[in-house]
Amino acid sequence: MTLNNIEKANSVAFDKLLRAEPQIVDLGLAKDVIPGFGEKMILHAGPPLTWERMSGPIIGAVTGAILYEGWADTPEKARAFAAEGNVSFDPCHHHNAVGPMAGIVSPNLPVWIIEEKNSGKKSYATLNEGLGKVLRMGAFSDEVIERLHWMREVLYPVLKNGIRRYVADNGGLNLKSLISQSLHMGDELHNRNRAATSLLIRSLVPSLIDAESDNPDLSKVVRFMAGNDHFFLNPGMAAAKVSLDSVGYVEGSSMLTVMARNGTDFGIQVAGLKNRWFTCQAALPDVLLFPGFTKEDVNRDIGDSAIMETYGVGGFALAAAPAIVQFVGGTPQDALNYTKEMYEICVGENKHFTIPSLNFRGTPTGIDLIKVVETGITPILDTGAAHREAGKGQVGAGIVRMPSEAFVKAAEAFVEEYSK
Amino acid sequence: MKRIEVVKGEYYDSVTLMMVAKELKKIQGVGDAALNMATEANVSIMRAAGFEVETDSLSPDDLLIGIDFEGEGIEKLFDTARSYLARPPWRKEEIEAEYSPVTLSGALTVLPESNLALISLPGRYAAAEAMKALKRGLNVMLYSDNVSIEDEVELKQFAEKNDLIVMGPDCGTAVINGKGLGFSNVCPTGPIGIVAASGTGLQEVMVQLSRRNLGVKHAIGTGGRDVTSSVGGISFLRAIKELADDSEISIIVAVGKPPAPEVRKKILESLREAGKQSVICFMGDAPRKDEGSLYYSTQLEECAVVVEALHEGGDVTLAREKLRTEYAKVSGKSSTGELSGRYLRGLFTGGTLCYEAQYIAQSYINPIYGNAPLRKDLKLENSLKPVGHSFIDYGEDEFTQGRLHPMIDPTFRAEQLKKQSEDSSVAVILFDVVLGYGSAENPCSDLVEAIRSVKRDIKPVYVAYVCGTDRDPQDIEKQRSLLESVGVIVCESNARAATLAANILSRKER
Amino acid sequence: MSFKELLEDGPRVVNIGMDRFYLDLLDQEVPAVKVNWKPPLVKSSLMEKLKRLRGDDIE
Repeated sequence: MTLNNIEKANSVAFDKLLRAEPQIVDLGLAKDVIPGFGEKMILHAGPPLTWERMSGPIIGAVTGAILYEGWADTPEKARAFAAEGNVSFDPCHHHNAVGPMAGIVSPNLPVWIIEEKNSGKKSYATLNEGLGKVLRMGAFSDEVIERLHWMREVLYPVLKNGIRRYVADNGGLNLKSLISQSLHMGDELHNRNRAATSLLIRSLVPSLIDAESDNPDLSKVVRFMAGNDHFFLNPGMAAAKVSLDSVGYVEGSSMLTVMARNGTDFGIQVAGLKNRWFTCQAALPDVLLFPGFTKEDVNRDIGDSAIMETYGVGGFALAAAPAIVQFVGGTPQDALNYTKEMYEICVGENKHFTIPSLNFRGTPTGIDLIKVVETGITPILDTGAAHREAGKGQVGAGIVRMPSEAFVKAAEAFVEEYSK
Repeated sequence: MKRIEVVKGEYYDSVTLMMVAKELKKIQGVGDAALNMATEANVSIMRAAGFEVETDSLSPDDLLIGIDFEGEGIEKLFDTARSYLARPPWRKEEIEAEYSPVTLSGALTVLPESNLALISLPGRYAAAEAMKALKRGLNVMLYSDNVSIEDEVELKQFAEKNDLIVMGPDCGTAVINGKGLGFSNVCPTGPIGIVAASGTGLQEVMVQLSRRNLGVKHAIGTGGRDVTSSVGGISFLRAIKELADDSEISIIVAVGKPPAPEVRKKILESLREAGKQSVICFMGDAPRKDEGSLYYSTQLEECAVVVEALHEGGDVTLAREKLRTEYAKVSGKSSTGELSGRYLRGLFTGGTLCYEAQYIAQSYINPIYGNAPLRKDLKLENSLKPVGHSFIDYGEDEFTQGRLHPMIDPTFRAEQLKKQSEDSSVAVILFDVVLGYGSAENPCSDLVEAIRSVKRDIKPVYVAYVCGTDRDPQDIEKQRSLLESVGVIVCESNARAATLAANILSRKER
Repeated sequence: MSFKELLEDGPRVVNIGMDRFYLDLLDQEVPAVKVNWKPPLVKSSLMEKLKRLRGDDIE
């Protein structure tokens, strides 16, 4: 391995990533469409995790999922059910799926099906429930479970028919194009998805009307989507996931293909190191807190949404979303500075995702493991923070710096692998 | 209560850490605050200060924050410390707002026409960064010390092959085309070119030239080890060559420590071939006779005087004699009334200034002990407990571990000044104040406060030299007035101050 | 930029280390950029191996 090979390998990986064309092609139930989905299986965000090590938000979300699935009928019984080993847990990533915050996927949850046009690879993500007391924040109250049922019984069938109509008329719904446009409209696609959500709804509504105009629930469905600024996040994450998956194994490449957290651990994967996880303790977010919450309430960093930064957006495109920076406690100059810093640890600049305030410079894309360890700069994310106690929801949002130990471990493995 | 927090993997330079500690100590109830990167040496220092440090899984790239606070809510202070680190209260907002790249590569996208990397990182990282810079075609000024001699040789050989220069390691001062790098005084530009191994020696020569309205075009620093046989004078010789080739330079000055014999030979040869007049001041050398275009000096002001004479086409010997006459007058002014005590104490921030002062003083009084003495056998056992006549250089390593250099932060030396002043055996105190870029904003104020607060029936006589020009940011007139307002006798050069101080005492002894 | 060019053109500086030097350069209107330097995450021996793999010592 020499300069030519690592640089070339990263170039290959980078090109593959940029060529990926993620599209929404369908919806389905997790148990029916997600490969390897076992009977009493629950998928979660981040690297592998056992029940004993799970943090509050995940425990809460698992409790909610068990109640939703009907495997138990009270929260206490649900927890016991899991504690007794009746559920098999697996990372979403092991099944080509991604989930924000707790990232819980249970058998009967409806999921988006995203396909990468060139390779045919697929990825999956649940439907976003909205803000407040929601499953992904670890909430499991009756309200949460009822909403999940509504989404399965009402939202899902209507959406599925609408998507199928869209695809029949137009082919897959191009997500990359929506992401490109929303970056020019003030989104960064992790904490701010308002423009992308609007564009998605705009794309879908004609087909929804064509397919479901007789359905009295259509208006509720549209209102539900329109009332949720983060509706795009889930398919957006699946788009990122399938694009990074399409890179696959690239010998000698130090480019990251996964960054993910599960509320306890942070984990990464590297294109030149196959599907190995390199993990360490997840960061404790030092973020702007909503009123009534204190530092002691914050759970460790959580969610597969780090895939957005791995894809070249989110915190890496903060310069495109100065409004979000205020919300998370910084200044517009901070937004610019964070993005500029990320260029220094990336393989290249993304010609498809450009930032108007940087003269339409492409976003920093393709995190380079070697640059990270060399510069001492780890990636930043722009993320929500959950309450450490199950069921208490979101406590704040802000910029979080990823911990370094996982990168150190990956660097050691990289040297070992390529010094043979 | 004393508490330590470890912040893993966050690096800050020592100056920032000490300034944050200083800010924290301003808060009521904070008895002590110390921020240090967790090197072995620093861990010892923190432990000595009473902080309990757990060293398993601690690395030198982790940050230790130690706070001693009486009262509730010490956690808030750690938060404050962190916010000071993130947004230093003493920084100008606009400059901070701009993006600072995190790598040399990043920097080169911001300023692609860069031609010099000024590196002041801890020694263990400095060499690697210097090599990176050289490979990107940048010259290097290496302010950092604690760089191995092997690294120095590797860097300088690489630089030589690639037509670049490495100034340093341990190069604190340089001037390129009239612009000051590192610690430097604001001087006029003119037809003089200097190559120097030392810091304050170079500063004094430039200041004395400036007093005589002589400007310097370039002052190239080489670091103290360049003229040893291992390094072979690579930078020194290259600098001489460029100064020789520069048509705007008419006189070359070489300042430093005595070189290794074979290096000295090469230096003298290249100065002779330069086709210009040269003034050589290797401090610690035996006096030598001028020969041809080479003029010798053993003192810094004298060096400037010789340059002046050469520049004006005057008689160098006469100029030297005139200077000696002036020094004699200075010694003549040395009766200052009643003296209490027997000893002279020198408190210095500049290493070469301390050396020169000792050299001059010891012809009037001796022995002179110190922490950087003229002879090994004169070394003090404890630099904080001087005996007899003693000169202390507070810029020496033993004082700058975990403490800012005294030119940057006058506090520690001011405390020692007060201590020495209250010692009844001390009759005369001599000290330097170095102005210019890099130095403290108001270097005399702490010293003056210390002098004012001295409790003693008859205070010692204070003699000082302010090494600066009228263009330096600290306002030299204000600094001098401050000193004079508490009775300090301010002299016009380091040599004069040392001469006066030594004579005041030796007269009394007579 | 060779040493000669540095002397002829005057310094245009990348400051790596103490901020005060950078600020003093700005004061003299010297073109300068400061690097917000951080140490590598890994031991120097590992960093050397990574650099070698990357071909950094190839001139």
